[in-house]
Amino acid sequence: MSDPRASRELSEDVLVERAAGGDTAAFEELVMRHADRLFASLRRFGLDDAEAQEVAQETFLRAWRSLPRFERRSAFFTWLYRIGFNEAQRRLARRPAAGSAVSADERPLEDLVDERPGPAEQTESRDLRLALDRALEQLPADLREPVVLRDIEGLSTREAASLVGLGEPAFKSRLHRGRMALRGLLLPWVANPDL
Amino acid sequence: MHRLLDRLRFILEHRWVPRHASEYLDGDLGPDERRRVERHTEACPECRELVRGLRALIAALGTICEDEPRAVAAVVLASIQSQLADLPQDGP
Repeated sequence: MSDPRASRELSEDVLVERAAGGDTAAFEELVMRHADRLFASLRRFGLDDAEAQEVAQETFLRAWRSLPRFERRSAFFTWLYRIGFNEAQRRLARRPAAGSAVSADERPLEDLVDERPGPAEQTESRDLRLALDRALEQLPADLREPVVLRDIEGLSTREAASLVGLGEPAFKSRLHRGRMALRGLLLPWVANPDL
Repeated sequence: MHRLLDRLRFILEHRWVPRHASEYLDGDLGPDERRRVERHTEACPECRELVRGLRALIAALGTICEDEPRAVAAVVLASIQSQLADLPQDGP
């Protein structure tokens, strides 16, 4: 096991290699580097704070066990993210179904926007970041996921499509619908030419 | 006759461009389709505004990950730290 203070100076590749070899201090440094971002992503997928924290813990434990099999074809966070995303999906699937059973793909986009609070109501705080978070929460999961993966987490279309189990054309279509729905929810900001 | 054809073409493009705005912004359109978007948005304020707004939205979404508040890392680490040493790793 290495010195935790020394681990802080190491590159991610070195930390991953050491952690894969059983170095807990190296893995702990990886947890410190990535847990907040993972937690924030899990929240954006619709988990509450407690669920997101539990899923983050489970994700890191699974990652620890699986690290020797990590082939490093993607960045460590992308790999970690995949574990977390799948775990979040399992958690969300166990929740009792609520609201309409109709998929967002089958509903007119206008419906998704119109049935939710108007832009003025959402934008009281005048805080773009907060408004973005609120608007994302209002999107149905199957439109929110592509936007989170592609536009917030910066995954490639191929990585993101694979993660949600869609082909690239279907993923792009859903991404566009998600962006258009967000645009509808955030009209006061997107209508501002200075944005 | 020409004006009618121009009007019909405009209506067709006005339907096509909003459906392909994301692909345009993501660089997924070929040169001809890109020109199609650009020609129409030059002539159509509504579609120009839509593309501008989407571009601004995507840029804003891209900044969300910056400066994530450090809130739970220490808690997550504390909760799993004691388990790591006893948790066997899978073989390669």
